[in-house]
Amino acid sequence: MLASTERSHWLASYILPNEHIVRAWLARFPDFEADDIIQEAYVILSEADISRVSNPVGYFHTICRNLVLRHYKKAQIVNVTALADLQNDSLIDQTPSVEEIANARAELRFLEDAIQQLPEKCRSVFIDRKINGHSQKDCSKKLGISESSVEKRLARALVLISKLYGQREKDPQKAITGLARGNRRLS
Amino acid sequence: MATEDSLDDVAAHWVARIDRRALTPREQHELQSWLEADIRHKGAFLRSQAIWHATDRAKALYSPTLSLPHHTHLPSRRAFISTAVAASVAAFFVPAKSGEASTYYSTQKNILKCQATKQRQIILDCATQLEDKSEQTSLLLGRCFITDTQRCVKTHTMRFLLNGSLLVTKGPAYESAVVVTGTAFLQGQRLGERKRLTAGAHVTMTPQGRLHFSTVEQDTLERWIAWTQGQVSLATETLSEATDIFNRYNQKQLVPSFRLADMRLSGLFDLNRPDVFAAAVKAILGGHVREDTHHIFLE
Repeated sequence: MLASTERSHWLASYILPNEHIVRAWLARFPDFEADDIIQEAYVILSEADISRVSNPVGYFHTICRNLVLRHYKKAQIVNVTALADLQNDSLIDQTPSVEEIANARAELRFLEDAIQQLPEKCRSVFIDRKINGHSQKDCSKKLGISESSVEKRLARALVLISKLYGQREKDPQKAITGLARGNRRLS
Repeated sequence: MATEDSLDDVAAHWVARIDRRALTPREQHELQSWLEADIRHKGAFLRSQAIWHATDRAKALYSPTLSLPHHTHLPSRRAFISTAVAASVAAFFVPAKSGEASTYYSTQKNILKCQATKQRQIILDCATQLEDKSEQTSLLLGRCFITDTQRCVKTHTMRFLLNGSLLVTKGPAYESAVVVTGTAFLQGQRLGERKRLTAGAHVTMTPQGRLHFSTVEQDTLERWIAWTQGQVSLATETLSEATDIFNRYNQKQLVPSFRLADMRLSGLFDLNRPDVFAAAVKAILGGHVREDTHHIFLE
């Protein structure tokens, strides 16, 4: 499809887990929908030469920043506070986001919480398909529901997890101790 | 797809549909039209695909283990239900007759989870052989994690009465056990002689046949049993040591270069995903990743 599997895994590993940081920064610009900027940024990332990107989150932030600037120019309006924020460019430390990226433990915790928050019907389908590895057809037989229902519940689960990724907040208590954290929020 | 839904809804439905079956020509056209209608549609679809792949990691929460249904002590071949096996792991286990009222388990590159009852669980690490009898469990080779009450657990030279969880390891010239939860009584040479061990107590049989006792911190304990959840917690291991661990569980072998072999990488990784580990090496240590059918070269 649009993205090669490898690129999609790259987005899943490096962008998605840290997307909320950029979303929090985007919330400063009330003139735009954060979703619009994020979606456009994913398209740009899907076409970029990611093999040269050493700091994926920093790169993602830069893309979003440029998109915000472009939208302001296009709209020919400049919010003074917003402009100051853009000039400060203080969201992300440009050092490589090593430990943050490698923090698989936090990622697993997040996924575990996300799965627990799914409605029962969605959760059982999601677990059967994504964790137990059964095909949608087998899930429908096992759960005694139509394949169409399996597909819909799976899609619903994806949407809910998608929302949780967008709203995600880091829990400092859950962070691994003893490691310096890259991509820290500076403001 | 319903147009009144949010972009995320529509994108997620397409991703779920593609997972269900190949799209018909009409659906392909419909999807293409939707994607081309607005750049945000394409972005929502890409993001939804990324979420689909991100959730693959959830497998690590539940295994790469196999679960056995409740079984009696009668010797017979057991059917088993696979609860979650990553595709990269060759599931291989042989419960077979080995004598009166006993079951013999063997693993190769997989982890095997045997749950007899809610209170009783045995998890075998890869390359492990274990004999389970009605009155005792014997580790013949490898590593296992046992949770039980009033259970006799033995290796070649050590014998425990377990009320909790015990991690036991047996190599050709090495045996050790650590109490993870609850208590375990280590039986002595003489009748009635025994030593009570609590959580964190670690006992090792040296090649000279001497017992060595020490205490293990909770953090270390968690690292040691991470494999029971299908994970590996790397802290001080060199890349060379880390790749040895991954290679025990996967057909696709990691091969670190001479330059990277002594470097270290910390974190918690899915044992079944050497590709994710390779990606982390690339991102963090600046390595270059090259693959062929059976290897992932880290250079």
